[in-house]
Amino acid sequence: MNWVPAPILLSLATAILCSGLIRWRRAQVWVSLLGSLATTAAAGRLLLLVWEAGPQVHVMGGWSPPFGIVLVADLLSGSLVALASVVACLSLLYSTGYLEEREARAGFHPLFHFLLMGIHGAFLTGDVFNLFVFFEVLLLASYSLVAYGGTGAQLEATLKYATLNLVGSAVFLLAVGALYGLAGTLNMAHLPARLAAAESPAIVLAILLLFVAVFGTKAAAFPFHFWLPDAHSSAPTPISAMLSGVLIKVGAYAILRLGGLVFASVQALAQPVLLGMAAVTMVVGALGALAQRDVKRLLAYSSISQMGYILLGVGLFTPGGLRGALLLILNHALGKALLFLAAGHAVHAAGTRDMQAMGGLRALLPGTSAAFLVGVLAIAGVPPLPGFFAKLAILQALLAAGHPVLAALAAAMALATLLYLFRAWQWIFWGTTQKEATHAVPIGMRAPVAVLALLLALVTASLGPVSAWLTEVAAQVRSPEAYVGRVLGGEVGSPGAQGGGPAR
Amino acid sequence: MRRPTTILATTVARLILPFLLLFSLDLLLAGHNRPGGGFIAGVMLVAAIALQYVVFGVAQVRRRLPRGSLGLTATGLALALGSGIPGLLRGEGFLKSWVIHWSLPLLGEVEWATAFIFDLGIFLLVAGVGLTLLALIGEDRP
Repeated sequence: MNWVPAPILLSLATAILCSGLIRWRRAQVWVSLLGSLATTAAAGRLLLLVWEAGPQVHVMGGWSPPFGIVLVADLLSGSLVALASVVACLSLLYSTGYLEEREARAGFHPLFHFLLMGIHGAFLTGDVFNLFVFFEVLLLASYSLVAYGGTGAQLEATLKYATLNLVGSAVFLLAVGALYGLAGTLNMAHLPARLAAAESPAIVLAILLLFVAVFGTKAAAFPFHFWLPDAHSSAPTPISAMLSGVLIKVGAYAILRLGGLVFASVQALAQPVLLGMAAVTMVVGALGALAQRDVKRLLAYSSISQMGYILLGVGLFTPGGLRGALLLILNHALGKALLFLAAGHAVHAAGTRDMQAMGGLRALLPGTSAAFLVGVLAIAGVPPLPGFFAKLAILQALLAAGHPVLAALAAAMALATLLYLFRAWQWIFWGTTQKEATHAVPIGMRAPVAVLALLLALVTASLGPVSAWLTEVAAQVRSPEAYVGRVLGGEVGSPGAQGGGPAR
Repeated sequence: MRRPTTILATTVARLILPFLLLFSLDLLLAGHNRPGGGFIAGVMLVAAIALQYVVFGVAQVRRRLPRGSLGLTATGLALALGSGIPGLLRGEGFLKSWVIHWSLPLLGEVEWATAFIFDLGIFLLVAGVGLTLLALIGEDRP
């Protein structure tokens, strides 16, 4: 039994079961929760296996690489799959409380698990065309989930989101076609050697830039970011947490995977473009967030800004920069999911998303107020939370690579982050009570927020081991020989061999 | 309400329906190693039903067609997923397919690939989605 496809298949199986149970709401919720727990357990098992025995390969249908499609789990994809499934579990738990009081509509749970299947698939696939397919799976599910509820604002947001991402997908397909035309293979382990031997690096660079534009769209990088504030703010709150916490990271992962592995030969040439995009993204997101009064829009703009930081670290591609980017991905996935879910309590209680109309909610929601503060400290990068060390690592890496202007910009934007997030906390939870809030927050919505705050505290307490782990991940990303060897090496050439060694 | 349909259209639509369904079945059976397959067979089935919608109208077709085509999609997906599991459990890769030779009376030696189960799943999935789409579009809500 090979564990690599397990997260994908368990998500798919849960989605199928949920759509079969679409008339029985209670049973559907239980199956959905249990399925997501099983997926998390499988992801944990897979990560452990990768840690003990190195990258794991699954040869689909027995067609050996580079001809068949492979699924590959290395430390990077394994960690991200585990992180995504934990955030998904908690968002799903939140949704049971969130959806209870709203009009019960069919389709939420199946779509949620199809989304999860797409995310896991995009992380685990070792084939560029397969990456396209899984991106389509996750995008299609996310279009429907953003529009879930069917209000006018949601449909408008979905229209923007879907239109821009359909254009992005078309460019994606063109880039895949160009890549195949040039290299004659789409296997991620087979491509680096073929591309390094290409006659003209200019064409390879052009294809890489196409991919950067495509994944920049998915990761909300400037100038392709403008769909995000609408989509992430009008989606149902648990979906906002998934979109901001996990989904945009898939874009960053794809840039990292393609830049670090497939296009390693021209990666340095694309660096100025990526760093420029990242810096502008960081500034545009922070300035946008400063101007918001709607709490969910503020958090959405903040996500754009944080993606800028992540892409800075990814673009640098130095050990320090990568470690910072990876720590920031972890920090932002937990922290932003926490902020969205906690903001959902406030919106639920006050019945409005306008922060200046809330005020004084600390009396009614003391726990939420404390959890929101933890999220604020994490995202704003206040020591000792991991956000601080992530941003510090990125700053140091920028200085070491000779980009003092970018470093100054990053430091300034960290201050802006602190300003808008603290102001939001103050507006929502302090001051005089402007509105008599009567809505109690159900336990299903409270538990995930508490768990996320605890997880952040746990990461903070064990920052040493986490940092060592991420250093190892960054080292594996920078030297993909093990990845290539496991996929193309003799031991996996014959069908059935799994490359797992003793772990089988 | 009577739809303004010509006798030519109704006769032809009625006559070719069985042939279209048979063609769809043929595409499904041919799938795993000749042109065809679950997807195109499902599309052919839906196209055959679409013709009936066009000629006879929504109300009449719906009276004859069983409801609940959304259940087909879940069944189809489950079949497609299930067809991949044996390969996974035997360590030969998800979706691994085997070819089995059967000796049947009258037909003699028959080759059958387990990939057919996957094709059948896709067929049910596409048919379910297509029929649901037709029903929703045909509903004609304001």
